[in-house]
Amino acid sequence: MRFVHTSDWQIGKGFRFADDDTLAVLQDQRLEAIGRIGRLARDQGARLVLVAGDAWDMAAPSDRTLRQPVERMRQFPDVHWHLIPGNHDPNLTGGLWERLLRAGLPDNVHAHLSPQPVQLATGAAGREAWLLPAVLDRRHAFGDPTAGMDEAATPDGALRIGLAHGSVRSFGSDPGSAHNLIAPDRARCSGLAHLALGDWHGMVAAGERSWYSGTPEPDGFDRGGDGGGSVLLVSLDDAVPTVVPHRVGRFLWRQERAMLTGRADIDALEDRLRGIDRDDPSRVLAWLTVEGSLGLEDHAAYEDRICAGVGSALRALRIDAARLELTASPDDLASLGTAGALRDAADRLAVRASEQQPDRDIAQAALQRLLFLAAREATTP
Amino acid sequence: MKLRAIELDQFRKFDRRVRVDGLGDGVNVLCGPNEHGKSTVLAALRAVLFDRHGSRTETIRGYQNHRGNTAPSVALEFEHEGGAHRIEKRFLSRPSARMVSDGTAYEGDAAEERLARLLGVSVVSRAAKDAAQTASIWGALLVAQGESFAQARLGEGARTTLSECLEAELGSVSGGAVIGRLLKQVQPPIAALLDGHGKPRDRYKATIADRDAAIAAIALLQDRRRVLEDDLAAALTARRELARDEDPAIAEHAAEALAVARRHRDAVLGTRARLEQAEAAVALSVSAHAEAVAAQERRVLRATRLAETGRALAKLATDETEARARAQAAQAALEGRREAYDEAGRRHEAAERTLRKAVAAFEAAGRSDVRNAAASRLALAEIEAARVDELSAALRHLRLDENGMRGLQDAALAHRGNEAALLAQATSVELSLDIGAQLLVEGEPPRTLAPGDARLSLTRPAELVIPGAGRMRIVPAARDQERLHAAAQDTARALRRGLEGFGLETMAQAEQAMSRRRDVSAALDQAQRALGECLAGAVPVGPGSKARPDIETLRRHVAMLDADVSERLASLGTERAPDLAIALSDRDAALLLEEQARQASVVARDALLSPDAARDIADAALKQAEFARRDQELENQRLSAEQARDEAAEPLDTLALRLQLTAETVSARRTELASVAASAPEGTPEMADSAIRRLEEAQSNRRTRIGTLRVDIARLESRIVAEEGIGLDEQIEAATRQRETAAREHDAFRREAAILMLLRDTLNQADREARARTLAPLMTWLSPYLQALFPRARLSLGEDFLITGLSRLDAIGAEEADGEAFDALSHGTREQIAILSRLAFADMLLAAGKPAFLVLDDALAFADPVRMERMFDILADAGRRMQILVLTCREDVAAGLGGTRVRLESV
Repeated sequence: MRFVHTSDWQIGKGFRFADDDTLAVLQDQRLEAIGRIGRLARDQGARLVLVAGDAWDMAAPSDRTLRQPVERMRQFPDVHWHLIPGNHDPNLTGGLWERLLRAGLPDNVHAHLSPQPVQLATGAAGREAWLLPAVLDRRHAFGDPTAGMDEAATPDGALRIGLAHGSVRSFGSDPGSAHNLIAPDRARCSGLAHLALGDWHGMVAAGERSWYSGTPEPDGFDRGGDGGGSVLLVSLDDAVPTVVPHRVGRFLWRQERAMLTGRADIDALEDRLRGIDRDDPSRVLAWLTVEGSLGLEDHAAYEDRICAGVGSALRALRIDAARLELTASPDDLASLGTAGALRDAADRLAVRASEQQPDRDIAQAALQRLLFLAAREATTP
Repeated sequence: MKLRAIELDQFRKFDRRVRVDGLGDGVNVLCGPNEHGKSTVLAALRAVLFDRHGSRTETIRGYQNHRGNTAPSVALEFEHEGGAHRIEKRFLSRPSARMVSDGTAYEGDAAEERLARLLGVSVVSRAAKDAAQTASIWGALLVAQGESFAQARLGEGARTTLSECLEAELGSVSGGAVIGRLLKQVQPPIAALLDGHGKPRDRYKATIADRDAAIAAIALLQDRRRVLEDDLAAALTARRELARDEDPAIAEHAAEALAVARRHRDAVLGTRARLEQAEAAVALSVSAHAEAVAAQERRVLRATRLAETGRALAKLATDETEARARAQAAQAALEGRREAYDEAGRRHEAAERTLRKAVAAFEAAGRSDVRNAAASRLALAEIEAARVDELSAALRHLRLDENGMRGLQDAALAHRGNEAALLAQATSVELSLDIGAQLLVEGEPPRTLAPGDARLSLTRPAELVIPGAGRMRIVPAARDQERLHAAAQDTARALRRGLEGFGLETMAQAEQAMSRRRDVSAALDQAQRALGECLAGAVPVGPGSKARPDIETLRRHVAMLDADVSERLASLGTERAPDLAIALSDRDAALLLEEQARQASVVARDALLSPDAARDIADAALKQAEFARRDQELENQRLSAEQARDEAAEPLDTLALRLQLTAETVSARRTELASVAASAPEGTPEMADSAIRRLEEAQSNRRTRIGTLRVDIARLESRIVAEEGIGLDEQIEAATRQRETAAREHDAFRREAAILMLLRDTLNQADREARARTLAPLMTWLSPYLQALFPRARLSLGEDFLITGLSRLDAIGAEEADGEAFDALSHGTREQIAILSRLAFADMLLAAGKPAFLVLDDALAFADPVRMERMFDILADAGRRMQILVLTCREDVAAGLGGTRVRLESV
């Protein structure tokens, strides 16, 4: 049998750094990813899609946000979608899952809200296949949500497939923060052919039979694993299961750093940023941290080519330039003459910009502005 | 730059070609009457230098001759930087410009550019409508009629030119003009961000409102989120309660319980009536039986009482007999005691008589003793009284007493004092004679001095007779000698008279007499004390009496005691007083006897009283016994009568039968009651009713609750569905995003405003300081002119090179407190200062290597002769550095100025 393992769609997620246009596109592409998953399943002959939690980003989405992914799944009546709640969309009393059931789910969409093993429609050659879902009834459940899988009864010889949402490792030093923590050897203990996990947004194997699929559409600059954008095609036909990642994500999220000291650095940075995807830079969202020191002309070039140029080419370019300094070079200041009121004003700002004062960056910017205005003044006939 | 000639044709008033030629290096004067064309020459100069030949502005058209449709043209010849130049312009009709500069010809715009470069005027600015020369410094140097009264209002170009000159002077570039332009560029964006009070405005302000609105929206949404969660929890609880209440098993169970309770109540009520009947029957039978028992008990009791009263009656008769015997015995005993008491009384009286006699004898003996003691003390007192009398007589014969003695001692002391004073004044003579000598002192008997040493103190003249030697008279040289001698004699006389008064001759005798008197006086005191002691206590005196007893009182007291003792002895029938000790012994014996007799009498009396009481008790007991017997007899009779009556009514055997029957009835009825009680169900009817009510209420409550819960659930669900539908989490996320966006925008605006304000403030500060620096050189240019015209005065300069005021210095160079503002100065002074500033401008331009000359049209109209002279001097001096063209209608000015005289001549 073959199925697609995915998780963490987080429909309705907001991206606060993005402008309104970008936000709309990012949110839309998360929905589009469902279609791509459905088509992939169909193309690969898989009749099952296991969604390991966090299909929605929040516990109380609007009706439209709630129904949109359901409608996308409805478009694939030959594919059965099995969903469980995650920590973003836990099965709270009166919560979104009850709303979903109230609204009615299509026949091919199955919401698992109790940890009872469920027989799957398709099995492997001559073997029944049973799904063992783990259900989060709250955002942070203490203990292991998969603990019941060891004792979950299924017919002898049946394939047991786990579906859960949580972390196999605690990241906090506080043992009390061990929420939704899943035993790393759960697949072995519970005799699972595959444990489909959700929560981590980057695709990663947590063991031979335990996998995180990651989010199908990347949503962050530092997601670990492969950074997200993949689903897993799992085949249990052979003795050893095979797991093949397939790329379905549209966007590339990158975190970049650059040290700028001159024109060559700016050239290299522009090339690097444009090189993330030369064919379609609009797929790229980059978080750029620049540091270093630039003279007036170089700084103008940086603003023109990186901030304005590359910034317009990419889907989003978020820049942290707190540690990029504008240094008025002797040449910059010489353009104002060796003395006089204008030079005096520039010198004052340059001194203030070089002192470790809270308004240092303001002084830098003011100096930059002065040099810019003076240069424009000089070239204006 | 030096002008050499100017030619006008068809220019304003001239319909012919005219020329001013021969302009010299320094001061040139063109003098002519009004309407001569001087101002036209100035206008032509401006036109050829600054107006573009192709221009057709109003000003240009104003150059046309009044006949119109002419083509005004102007040609100017000048020298500059060692080269000769000619510029010729024709305006309006077939306009042209041609410049020949250092042998090179330039046509049209090339000519214009060449000229502009030489003049240092920007071509661009020349394109501006007739602003070229007014905007440039030339506007300040070509001074038309009437313009000289005011300071030159410098355009930006002029200021720049001057600034550049000053900067050249300073050897630096101030960039002041650039700063002005930059400030103009900075101001609009600031004004777009901040209002006049520095508060955010427009979009900047809106970000704050956006952020606050988003924060408020988030709070509101979170509240709604909490309400939704509460509603969800409430709905869950309500559904659970409803499910429980609607459970049919529970409802069925409740109905069954109610039916059971009702049946139970019916059973309890039925049993209760039967029980009450049985209890009434039991009570009735018990009552009948009790009545029979009571009748029997009454009879038994009465029979017992009858027997008891019979026995009591017999005993009471015996008691009465015994009481009577005791009463009689008590009476007999009383008689015997009464006799014994009488006898004891008689014996007590005899003892009392004996005692009285013994007491009298004892008192007589005591008084006799007292009398004897008083007589003895009287004898002693008589002896001491005789001695007192004797010593008193002796004392009376001694006349010198203590007072007299003190007088004699005072007189002797005064005499010795005078003698000593005399001696102190004496002349001392010390002699050492081998033979005796005789001394004869006046008023003294002669004395013989023994041989050997002699010491003489002489108070009076004396003669020393020394045998074999002669006489020597010595007269003491003492003061007051006579007075001292007289005083010594007076005191000597007084002492002698005092002694004679007491019959004495010397003070030694007086001392002896005084000693004797003291001895006698002491003896008298002793005798008086002895007498006092004899008398003291000898006579009893009344309490409080202070009278000292005297011997006469004692004598009377003794006589009184004698009489008392005699009387007492007479009453005792004896002549001699008995011995006191014996009398005391007799009296004590009589006292003892009397006490014994009295005790015996008391005992007898007590014995008399005790048998008397016994007899009274015996009498009372007898009476009581009689009464008791009679009562008992009556009771006995009554009981017997009752017994007879009852027996007649119901004989004893009948009563016994009744008792048996009633006892059997009681037993039967009780058995019936126990049977009914044993069959009764548990609980009371009240409890049964209460249980029914409770069950009915529970049922009713459940029905009500089901209704309420259904309503509540419906209400909650509708609310939940409504709130869920809008997606509160999504809205909170959107509002949070809005808040962060607004905050980011706000930060960006704030940063932008800070940048712009810092830039503006820094530019302003630099500009101010640069101006302060650059104005200083202008002052150095102006000062010499100023000192020439207004010695001891100082100018203050404001921005834009304008002179703002004038202050004069006093004799020692101190500045006046209040300088005069420029506008407050007189017309003449203002004009003169305005010309001076123009001269300074031209000086600065020339010093900076720029072209400059000054043209004044009808200036110095208001100068007084003195100032006029000074202005001439100043202009002449300036003429050595620059070319000056003065256009005037006043011949005196022309004559005063000197310089080169030029004329306007037709060509």
